[in-house]
Amino acid sequence: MATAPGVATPEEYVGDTLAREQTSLWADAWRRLRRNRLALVSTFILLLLVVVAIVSAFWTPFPIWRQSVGPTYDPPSLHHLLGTDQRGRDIFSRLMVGAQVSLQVGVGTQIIVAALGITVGLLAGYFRGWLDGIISTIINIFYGIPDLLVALILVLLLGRGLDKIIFAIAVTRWMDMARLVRGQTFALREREFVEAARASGTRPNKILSRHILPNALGPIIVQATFGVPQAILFEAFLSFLGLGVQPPTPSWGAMAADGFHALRIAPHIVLVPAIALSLTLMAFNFLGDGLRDALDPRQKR
Amino acid sequence: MVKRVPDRVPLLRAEEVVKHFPAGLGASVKAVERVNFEIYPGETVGLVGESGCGKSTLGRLITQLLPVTSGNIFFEGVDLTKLGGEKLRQKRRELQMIFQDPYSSLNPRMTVGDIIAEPLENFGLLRGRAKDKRVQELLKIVGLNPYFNNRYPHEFSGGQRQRIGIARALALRPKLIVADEPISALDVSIQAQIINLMEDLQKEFQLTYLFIAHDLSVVRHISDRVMVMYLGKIVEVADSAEIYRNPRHPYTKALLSAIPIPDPDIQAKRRIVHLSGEISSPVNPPSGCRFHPRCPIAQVPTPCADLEPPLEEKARDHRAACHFSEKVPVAV
Amino acid sequence: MTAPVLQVKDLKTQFFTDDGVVKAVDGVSFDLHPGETLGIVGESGCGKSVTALSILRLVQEPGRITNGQILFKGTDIVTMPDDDVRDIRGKDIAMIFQDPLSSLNPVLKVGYQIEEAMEAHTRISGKVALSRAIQLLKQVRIPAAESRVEDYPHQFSGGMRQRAMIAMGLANKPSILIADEPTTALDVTVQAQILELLRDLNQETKTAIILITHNMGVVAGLCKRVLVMYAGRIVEQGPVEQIFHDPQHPYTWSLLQSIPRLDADRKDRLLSIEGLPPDLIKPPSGCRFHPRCRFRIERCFHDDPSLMDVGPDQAAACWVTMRRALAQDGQARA
Repeated sequence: MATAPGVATPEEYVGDTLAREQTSLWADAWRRLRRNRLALVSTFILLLLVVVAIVSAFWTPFPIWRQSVGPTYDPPSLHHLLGTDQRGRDIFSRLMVGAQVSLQVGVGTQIIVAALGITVGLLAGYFRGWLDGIISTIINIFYGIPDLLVALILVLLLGRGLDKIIFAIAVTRWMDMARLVRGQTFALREREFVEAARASGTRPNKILSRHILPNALGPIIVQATFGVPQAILFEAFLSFLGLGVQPPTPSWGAMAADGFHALRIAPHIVLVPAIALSLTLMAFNFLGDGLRDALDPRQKR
Repeated sequence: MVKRVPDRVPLLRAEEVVKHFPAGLGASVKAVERVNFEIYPGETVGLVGESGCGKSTLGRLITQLLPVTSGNIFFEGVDLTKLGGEKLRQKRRELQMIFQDPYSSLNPRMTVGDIIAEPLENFGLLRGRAKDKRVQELLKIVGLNPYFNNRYPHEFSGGQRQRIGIARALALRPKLIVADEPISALDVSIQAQIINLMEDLQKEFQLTYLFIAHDLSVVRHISDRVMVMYLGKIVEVADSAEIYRNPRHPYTKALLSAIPIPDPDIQAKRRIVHLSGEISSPVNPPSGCRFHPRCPIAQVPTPCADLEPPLEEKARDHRAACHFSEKVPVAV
Repeated sequence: MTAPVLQVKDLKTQFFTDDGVVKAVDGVSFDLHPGETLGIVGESGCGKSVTALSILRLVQEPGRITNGQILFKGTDIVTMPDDDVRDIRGKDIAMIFQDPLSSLNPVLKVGYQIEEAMEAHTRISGKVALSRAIQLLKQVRIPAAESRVEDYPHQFSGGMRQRAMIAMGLANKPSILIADEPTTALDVTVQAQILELLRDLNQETKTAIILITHNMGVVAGLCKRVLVMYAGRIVEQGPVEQIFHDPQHPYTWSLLQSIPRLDADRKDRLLSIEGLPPDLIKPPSGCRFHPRCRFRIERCFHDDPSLMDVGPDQAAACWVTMRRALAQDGQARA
C-alpha cells in the first residue's frame, strides 16, 4: 500500500471506493418525489382518472348518448350517482367519458407542443445566429396574436373533431416550451461537457440528442405537466362557448355549459363537471410542483 | 525529461493568432492579440497568467473550440484555421482537451463508460465487445476500477472525475493534449495524484501537453518550457528552470514573488513586487507595452507607453517582450 | 500569558441529512489569544469552515452544534440567546468570506455598507460614520478613499472588494477577525497584497485573526500558530515553524510533500496522498487517516489517537509520528 502508483496496476485503483453510491439522477428524483405528499396524492388522483377514462371506453353505467335514461334535472341519487341533466342523461357516465376527452386533449396537445417546442428550441439555442433570429421572431409573433382568436379560426377552418381541437390548442401553446428549451440549450451548450463532446468530434445531432436534450428533460417534463391543465382548461372553455368537441361527445366544459341555464334549479349539472375539472387541474399543478422540486438539480447537496 | 532539439519540427505552431470577442457598441474584447509560439513533440509547455489574461481562450483556439479572428494554427503542418466541417472533425482525433471543472465537464446523464466510449464511437473506431474492452482498459490506465464503467459521474469524487476526463481525452490516442487548469478545482492532496498521473501517461504514450494554469509553482514542476501571458500577449517564454532563476519580464518577476512558499522563514524574508493599479481592460488595452501602467521599471512615455516591445530572444532559448529586460532583478 | 479571547472546547457540529449524520466537526478544541494569528488548514470537507461558522453560530440547517463550548471572553456562545450572538457578530467577532462579491449588496454604495456595519452596533451621526468609513478604506489601502466611498461594488475589482470587506469587518474594532479562504478567489498577485494587508492590520490593530485556508503557503506567510484539520478533527497543532519544519503527523507531512515548491529543485515525482478523504457519515475506525497513511501500524486500524505532545507547544494525533517513522525508514535503508 501507499507506494506511488503511476499508471495503476490492477491492485491499486484509486477509484476502488466510490465517493457516494447512488443510482441514476432519475431514480434520485423519483425518491424525492415520493416524499412529497401532495404530489403523491395528485399522482393517485390522476391515475384514477386514467383508469376511469379507460373503463369508460368499454363500459358506462348508462349509455351516454341516450336521452331520458332517467328524469330530467334529477339530483344525485342511488340510481344516478351524480344525477341527470336537462335531457335526462346520466351525468356520471358522461363525466367518465369527459375524463377521456380531457386527458386526450391535455396529453395530446402537450405531445405536439413538446415535439414542436423541443425541435425549434434546440435548433435556435444551439445554432443561434440567423436561425435563432427567425425562430425568436416567429415565437414573438405567435405571442402577439390572441390565442382564442387563433383557436377559433383553426376550429372554424378545420372542424370540430377531437384531433383538430388538439391541434388548434397546441398551435396556441407551443411557444412557452420553445422558449424554455431554447434557454436551456443556450445555457447547456456553454457547459464544459458539451465543449468536451465537440472536442472529441461529436456531431451536432448527437450533441443535441445525447448531451443537451437529456439534461434539459427535467424542466421540459415540468413545463409539459403544467401545460396539460392549461390545455384542458382551454378546451373546456372552447366547449363552454360551444366551439369544443362535437356533441354528443361529452366534454366537461360542454357539460357545464349545458347546465348553466338551470344553475338555480339543478346546480349539480354545473358543479359536477366543474369540480372534476378543478380537481384535475389542481392535481396536475401539484404534480408539476412536485416534479419541479424533485428534478431541480439545485436541490442536490 | 525530453530535451528539445532546436531544429526539430514543431508539432504545433501558432502564428499571429488573434481573438476578439464582440462586446457591443462596436467595441471588442481583445482576448488574444498576435500570439506566436511553437510546441515540440513530447514536451510540456506551461501557459500561465492571471484570470482574464486570455490563456483559456488561447487553449480553446488551439483545439478549435473557438474560431480565431485572424492568424494561423499549424498542427503537423496543416492549418487548422482553414479546416472546416468533416476535415476539422477528423483532425480532432489528434488534439484533445482536459477541462478545469471535473463537475461540469462530464455529462451527468451518461454513464462513465458511455462518456469514455463517445470519442471512439464518433470515429467508428471500435464496436461492441472491443469497445467495452477498450473503455475498461482506459479506466485501468487512469487508475480507476474498470468495473465502474456503468456508474454515473456524480458517484465519483472530484479527483476521480478528473481521471475520467483524462481517460476520455486519451481514448483517441491523441498527440497533443491541451489541459486547461486541470488541477485547480481539486484538493491539494489530490492535485499531486493527477500531476503524477499526467506525467506517467506522457511517458507511456509519448504525449505532448499544453498545460494551462495560474499557479506558477505547479507549472514549473510539470513543464519543460513556460509561457507567461499578460492581457492577451505572451510576455515571456523560457525553459522552466531558467524562467524561475532569471525572469526577464517584470510581470513574470511579480508573479513569482507573489506565489506563497510553504515555509514561514522564507516567507518572512521574501519581498513581493508591488504592481500598481489593476489589470487594464482588454477592451481598451494600454498603448505600447500593455504592462506599462503597472510596471515598476517602466519608462513613460518613451519607450514603454508608445512602443510595443517585441517578444525577442534575450538569452539562449529565452524570449521576453520588454524594453528593459536586463533591469529585471533576479529571483529571491 | 494573557487569558485567551476565545476558547473552543470539544466542539461537535453535525449535519442531519437524508443519508445520515455528517460529523463535520468532531471534537475540536483550541484557544485563541488576543492579537494572535491562527491558521486552520485542511482540505475541503475537513471541517475548517464549519468550525468558523460554528464560532459565530452561523451554521445553517440541517447543521447543528451538538456538543461543546465556545467561550468568548468567558461567555459561552453556544448557549447564548440569539440577540446576544447577533450583538457579538460584526462587533466583537467579524468574518470575511471567500467571495466578496456575493457578500456585498450590489445596489448599495460601498461606503454606505460600511456605515451600516457600524450603525448596527453603535449610534453615530451620518457625518462621523462617513469620515470613519473613509478612514477605514484608507486603512485597507484603497487609493482615493474619499471618492471610492461613493462607488458601488461592481466598480471595485476583486481585490478591492475583499479590501472593502475587511474594512467592514474592522469597522467596529473587533477583537477577532475570521477570514474564511479570503484569497482563494483572487489572483496570486492580489492574494499576496491582501495577505500583506492582513499582516499589517494585525500588527496595527492587534485584532486576532483566524485564517481558514487550504493553501499551506498562505498560512506560512501570515500565521504564528497552525491547526491542521482532517476529517473533522485537529490532527496536528503547533507554532508555524514547527508545523512546517518538523511536522509530526503523517498527514501534515504528506501535504507539505505533495505541493510543488517554487524554491525547491524540480523533483521527478510529487509525493501523493493516495485514496480519498473519508465519508464523514461513517468515518473509518481507529485513526481517521489510517486508510491513506503510508506509515500506519497495526494499532492505527482500531485505536483512535487523541492529540499528544510531540514537541514544545506542538501536539499531533498519531501513534507513529514522523520522528519515529523517518527514523525507521532510515534504518530500513541502512
